[in-house]
Amino acid sequence: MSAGTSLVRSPELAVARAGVGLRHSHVQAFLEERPETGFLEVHSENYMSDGGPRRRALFELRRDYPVSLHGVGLSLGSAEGLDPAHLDRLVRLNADYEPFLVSEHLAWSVHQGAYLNDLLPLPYTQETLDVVCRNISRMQEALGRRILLENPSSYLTFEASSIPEAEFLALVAEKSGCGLLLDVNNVYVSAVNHGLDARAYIEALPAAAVGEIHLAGHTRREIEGQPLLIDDHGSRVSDPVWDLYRFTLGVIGPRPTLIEWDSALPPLRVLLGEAAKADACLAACVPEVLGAA
Amino acid sequence: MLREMQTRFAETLLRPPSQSGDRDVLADLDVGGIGGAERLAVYRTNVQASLIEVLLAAFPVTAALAGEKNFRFAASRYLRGEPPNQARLLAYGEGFAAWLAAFEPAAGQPWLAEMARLEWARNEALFAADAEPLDAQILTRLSADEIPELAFVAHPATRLLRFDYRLDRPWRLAQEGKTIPVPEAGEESVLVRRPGLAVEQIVLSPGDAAMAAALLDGRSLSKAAEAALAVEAGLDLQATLFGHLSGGTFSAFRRSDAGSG
Repeated sequence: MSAGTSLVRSPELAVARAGVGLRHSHVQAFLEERPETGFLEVHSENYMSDGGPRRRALFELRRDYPVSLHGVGLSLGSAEGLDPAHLDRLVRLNADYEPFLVSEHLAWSVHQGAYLNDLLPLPYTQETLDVVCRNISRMQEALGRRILLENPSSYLTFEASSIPEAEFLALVAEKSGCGLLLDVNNVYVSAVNHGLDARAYIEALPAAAVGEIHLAGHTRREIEGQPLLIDDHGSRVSDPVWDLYRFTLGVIGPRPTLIEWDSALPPLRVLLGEAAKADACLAACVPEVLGAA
Repeated sequence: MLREMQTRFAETLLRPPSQSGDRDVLADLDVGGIGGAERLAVYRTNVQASLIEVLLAAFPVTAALAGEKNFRFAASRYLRGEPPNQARLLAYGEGFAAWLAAFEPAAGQPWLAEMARLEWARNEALFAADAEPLDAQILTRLSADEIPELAFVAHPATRLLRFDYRLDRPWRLAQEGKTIPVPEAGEESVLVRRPGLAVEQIVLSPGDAAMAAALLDGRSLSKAAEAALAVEAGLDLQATLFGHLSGGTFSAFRRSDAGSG
């Protein structure tokens, strides 16, 4: 904990609300105006420094907003296991900021010490299931809490895959005890890219395990006449993804919902407007008090 | 099985986009034979383009001096040979200045690697541990014979750099969005520090630089004063020391071991 910061009386998320991803270009506006939003989510790795203004700003904002730590670099799908130094840094962040959620991805990004800065796809096999469950158990033990695992967006699948992705996620949640972060845009992107039924995917997930929902924008390309959706988080949430979100809420009930926007960032009011739209969908759902995440 | 697949995949992602050699990875895929190479290319582009953006953001003045196109070319070569060795991008680029100094196409512009070294020092200072700067008032509580034997502890953000080019002015012009002149040859010592939340950068005179170097090295004030006066006889020692104390170069002091300081 940094000197002079106190998290006593920090807010927690009591009911399912919409929040936004905190990006560097919006930090000043948040510090000065403290706009109303359900929670803030940050990429954990951006705060893995010894000190400096970025960490300080998040300490300030933590006093007024519930915070969710969303990791992109632990590489839970790496056959070689987790980087202990990276895990240690995450443990420190978790202690410093007391987030209400900690999440990571069903993906890999580190190999032989090189970090590839993308969420890379996995073959869904028994071996991968064992690797992912082992890594999640290690992460949960180190943090002393349950984490949420996010379903990926993907552009290709593997010949070796023998387990459908939704079933794979359900198995990971059951065996490791982790929760799920359901990225509805990722479901839509992967469903289009691989010719799957997005609604059947969502219905195949264990509803009680879902602790958070993500929404984001994507762009569309074509490869040899077939659509390929790119999950670039650079635009408003698309209409089919809003439809799928409302469907999801009907199936699993309301959950904290994040608007993710990472490239071509809009003014903060546009981002908050997307969150307000998600809040309206949540309000149309029967409210449900959240249990401990 | 998974480990081997990840090795093949990782290698292919760091290859130049035009180079073939994806056959082994394509054999792992289930894409009905359609667009496998293009689908793989989405990942390769994500990896390489995003890392180039990270380097552009960490070295904006170096990029402006080199020309953005040239910088992107250099960055694409660098990331293939030296991808991030940690999964936190705020630490990516540590070896870039040294790599750039040996990058053949930039051999005629040695100031580029020097500017990269300055920008990386600023980056390190930005993310260094927080610490209260040493209070200058401390000197008033010490006796006159204690002061010469004082030694100081560098603030975690403090970096002293010596360059063969004058980089401070071009760097400042770049902050104002002005056209950046090619840096002039000539020795320049720059101190980077972060007493609070903002990174500062100041050019030191030769004597000041010698004093700062000695103090940052843990030597006593008397030894540092000797070193400073040896290169700049007219240096105002008191004002120079006060500048470092009030500016936050140090975070603590100690009494140096007699005779060894």
